[in-house]
Amino acid sequence: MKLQNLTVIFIIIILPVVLLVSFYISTGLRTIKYQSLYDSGLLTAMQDAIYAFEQNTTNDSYSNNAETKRNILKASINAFEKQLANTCNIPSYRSQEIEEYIPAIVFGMYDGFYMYAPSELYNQATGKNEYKHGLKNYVYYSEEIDEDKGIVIKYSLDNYVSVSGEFNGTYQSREGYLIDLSKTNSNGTSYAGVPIDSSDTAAINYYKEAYSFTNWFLNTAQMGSKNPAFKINSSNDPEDENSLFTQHKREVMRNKIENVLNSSISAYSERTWKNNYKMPRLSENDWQKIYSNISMIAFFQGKNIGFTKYNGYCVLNSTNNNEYVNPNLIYFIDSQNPKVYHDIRCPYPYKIGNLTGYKVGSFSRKKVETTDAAGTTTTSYEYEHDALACYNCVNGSHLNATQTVYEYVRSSTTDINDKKAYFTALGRERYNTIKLLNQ
Amino acid sequence: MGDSLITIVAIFLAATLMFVFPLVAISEMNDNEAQSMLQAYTTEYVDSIRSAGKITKEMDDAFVQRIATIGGNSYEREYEVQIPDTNPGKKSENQQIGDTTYYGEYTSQVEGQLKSGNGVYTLIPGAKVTVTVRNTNTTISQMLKSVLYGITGNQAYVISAQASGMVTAIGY
Repeated sequence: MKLQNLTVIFIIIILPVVLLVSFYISTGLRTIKYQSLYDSGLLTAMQDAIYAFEQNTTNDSYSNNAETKRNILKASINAFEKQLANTCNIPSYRSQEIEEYIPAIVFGMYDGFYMYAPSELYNQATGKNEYKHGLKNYVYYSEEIDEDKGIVIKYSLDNYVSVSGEFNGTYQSREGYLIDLSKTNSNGTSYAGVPIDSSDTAAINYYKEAYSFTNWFLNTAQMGSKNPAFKINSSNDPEDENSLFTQHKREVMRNKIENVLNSSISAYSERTWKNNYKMPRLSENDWQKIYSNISMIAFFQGKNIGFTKYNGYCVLNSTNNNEYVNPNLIYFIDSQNPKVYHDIRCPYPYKIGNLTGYKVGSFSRKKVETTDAAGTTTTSYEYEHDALACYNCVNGSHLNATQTVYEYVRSSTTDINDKKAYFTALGRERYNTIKLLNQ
Repeated sequence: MGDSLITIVAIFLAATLMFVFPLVAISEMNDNEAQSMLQAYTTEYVDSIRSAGKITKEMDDAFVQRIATIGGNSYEREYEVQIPDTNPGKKSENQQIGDTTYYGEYTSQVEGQLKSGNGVYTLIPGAKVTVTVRNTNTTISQMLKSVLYGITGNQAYVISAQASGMVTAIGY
């Protein structure tokens, strides 16, 4: 055979191979492109949803009402779906089409979680069962301790618990903060050897009521005998992230979320033929986010991106809301310079006058709508504490990075005025927070 | 005669394989790179608008100049701003961000604001801003594809990027 013939045969063989490889590479590139596009789109959608949640809870004075809270969460979901639909080039008026790819959204709240997921419903018009997304009932972070006596404990993100069941022959239901009794007293005037500001009634009441509740929890309810994690003492301080109580509480929270999510996603996956939905394994870092703050977890699965189908999730925290007092996000105003607020660890020489601390949400702008007798509504904006964040605290350049807030306020070298301001603020803010557990 | 024909066919195929396909591949790669850069720049720009709560003439000019350097192409950018309608005369009660009635303003209105007065288009928290960028010229890859696949008429955009998000600050 001549060289020319061999050349033609070679080219005829190699040309389809080149075309196939080219197609394979371009599809691979498309897969990567869409994967990164959906990753960033999911994150942006989550940011929008969290922002909507924060703004709506801050600006709505009834946000602690359970029904209002559901409306606020639905609005957040709406913001999330619209943004995600935009990423997927679905027009906003058809944004609900994106729900097909959302097997579940979880809102981790202060003492439980809401889940937005599909449920099977009977459609009378078509006479068929179909799936429709909806906000499910609130699930508490609860655990049954004694089946015979019906003893149930409900946990929260911090040391607040609710206990109900039969104690000493009578049914009782109590809720309150668990505290290390050796650190405070029945009058609530000190904590960890630091005096609490006596003019702050809410702070004093917090420590007083926490002492009383913990006393009941340990001595009347005898909870310590039911589980070693409930033996609250100096080596098992509920404020400590590494304490047995906190570890146990987190296991319960994780188990609860995983079980509810798994069963919902599996049921949806079994009954739909379009996608095989699976619950991804959340990383330890993501679980830490869920344990430590109000959070939102969204799953986005099944969108075709070339060779494969997209399977992603995102966990995002809300740090600026009225739901939860995060001990790491309490900021302080100096009476001599009330226009700037600081982290307690800020070494900037601002500590001239008296320090007063508030939760971070207190520094946000709030929308106030007033309607006069003629029915005219006027919108104005106001600040609970009109101060700006300290530049050094925001960029973190001057903060003592070797110590967390928890370590700093418990360190023997920390100024007692810092400690007093911190524990007073923490007590007051916690005392003034409305909880669903006692509604 | 037979040998000459097969030689011509071989030369033609070899030329296609050695020159045309690599050229198409390189030009497509160039478009892909431009696409990635355009998406990154657009996302960055939208993020800056969201956190600033406004669009200024300086921001817009800087963005237009920045994207003009990508891949030797020319681009047009379009704005779409969805503003929450909080007109008390309509329906303001119980409206939550995310569940609000929105009205839209588009490129011409944004540009009008940027060209007049202080050159600032102010946004409010909860508004949704979308920036779309597309190429306006015909890229080499488009030209080659037109020749290879015999496409005539209007060209589709091959490089386009879109980014959007909710405004989180007030730009006063």
